Amino acid sequence: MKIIDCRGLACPGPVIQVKKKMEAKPPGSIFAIEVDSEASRENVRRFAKSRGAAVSVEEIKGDAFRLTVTTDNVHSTQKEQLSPVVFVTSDVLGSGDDKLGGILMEGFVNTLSDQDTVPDKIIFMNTGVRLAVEGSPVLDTLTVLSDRGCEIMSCGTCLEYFSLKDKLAVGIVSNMYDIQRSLMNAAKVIRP
Amino acid sequence: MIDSTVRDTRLLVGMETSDDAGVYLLDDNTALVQTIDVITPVVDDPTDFGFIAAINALSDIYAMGGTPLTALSLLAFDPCDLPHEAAQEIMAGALEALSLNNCTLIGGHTLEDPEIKFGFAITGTAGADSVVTNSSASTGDMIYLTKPLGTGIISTALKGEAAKESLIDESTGWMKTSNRDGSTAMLQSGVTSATDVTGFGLLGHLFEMCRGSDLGAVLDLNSVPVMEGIDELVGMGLIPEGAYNNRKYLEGVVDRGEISDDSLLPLFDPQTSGGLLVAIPPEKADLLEFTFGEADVFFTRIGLFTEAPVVIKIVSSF
Repeated sequence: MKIIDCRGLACPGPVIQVKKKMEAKPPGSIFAIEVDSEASRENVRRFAKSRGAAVSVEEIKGDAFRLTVTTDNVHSTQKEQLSPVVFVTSDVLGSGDDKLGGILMEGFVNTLSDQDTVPDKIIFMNTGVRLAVEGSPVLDTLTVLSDRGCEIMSCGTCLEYFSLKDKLAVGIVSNMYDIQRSLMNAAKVIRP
Repeated sequence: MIDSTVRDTRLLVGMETSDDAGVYLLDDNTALVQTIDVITPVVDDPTDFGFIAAINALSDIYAMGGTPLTALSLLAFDPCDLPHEAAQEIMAGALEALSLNNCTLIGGHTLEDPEIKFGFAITGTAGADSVVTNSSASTGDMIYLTKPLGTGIISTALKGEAAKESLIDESTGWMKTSNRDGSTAMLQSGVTSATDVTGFGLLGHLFEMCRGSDLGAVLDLNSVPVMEGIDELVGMGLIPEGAYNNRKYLEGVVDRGEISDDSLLPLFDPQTSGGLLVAIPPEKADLLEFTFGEADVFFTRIGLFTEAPVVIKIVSSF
């Protein structure tokens, strides 16, 4: 289950995050959000309920709260768009010319933040992991997408292979099982 | 050696009553009125922000029945964050507001800060016998408010990019409205006590009046003016942390009966540049309403002061 960490975020930051998440997710999704103030707890609860979601709250350590939000199966928000998983298996897009391919892939990832729909996840494998490490030309975009609730996952084996594990700059180190599960559960997979 | 425990007899209003401004007797006829107020941005437009910061600071002088004279500005910002032009626009907005209220900027201070803050220390005068404090209401006095509530919630919604343009415009308009005319009207009508509604919300500032005067109050929820569209924002959880803090602070003071949390939250909403909250003896209420009307000042009667204990009871009429 995706957990969005909004601790330390002032109002209405957490509500904005939940709003974006709920707009991006299909009905019947579950995710959690962590906040560290009663004000944020109440605000997030109000917002989620106003959108027809079920909310449960638990206290977690550090005087914080975790709210688990289950979006309504029946009620759908304005956009019917299903949020895709973007599966990036290379740092070049297309074949025939790698220099062009590099430019194209950079453009592809950067343009993701201009779309109305935020991808549910972006998964990097093989040379694709280079896009999530220090010095990558798309780090700013990936950070923006991550802030909007997109989960960024990079294959651990690949990072190790390229000796880049300690240079990961955005998202988490993932593994074949979780990556495969993400792909199998995805409503839609986009592979540039 | 000066004995700091001996109170200066010329101090008419100090910090004990959490009043809007300090008041210090200059001579038999005139009292000095001083206040300071600094805010963080509540609107996107720099000129509007500067204007609002000035109006907000001036309000405290007016709430005491004073007339502002001079102002000193305080601007804190990050030069890497705020372009020079924007800082100038903030200042320009403020100068316009001060000028409209016949208050002269005579100096100021700027410092670096990661967060933008802007405000003023204002000096004014009041007649030695006509200072209006926040602690001099009497049982049976009627309570009037001169601006609708909602600026805190709307500023939060604005930050959350969830507020309609029309509501932002309305809120901005209220925040830019000076309390000068309201103050003149209240002085002409013989109010007993007054304050302005700002960071502690309507209920917080009403509590200050109750505590200072040792009275309770009854408020009619249906009469409390709240900007239209606020309900929806409350339902969406676009409520500033200050509202929750105010509610917590007033636990035990507010008796809300069956009234829901959502309905009450706007009354805890911290306001920026809010209206005057005024106590008037019932026999003078008509005169007050007339003078407000003549000066084109918005007003609503929202309740009345009752005997102690210091409890604010909220009722809902039909």
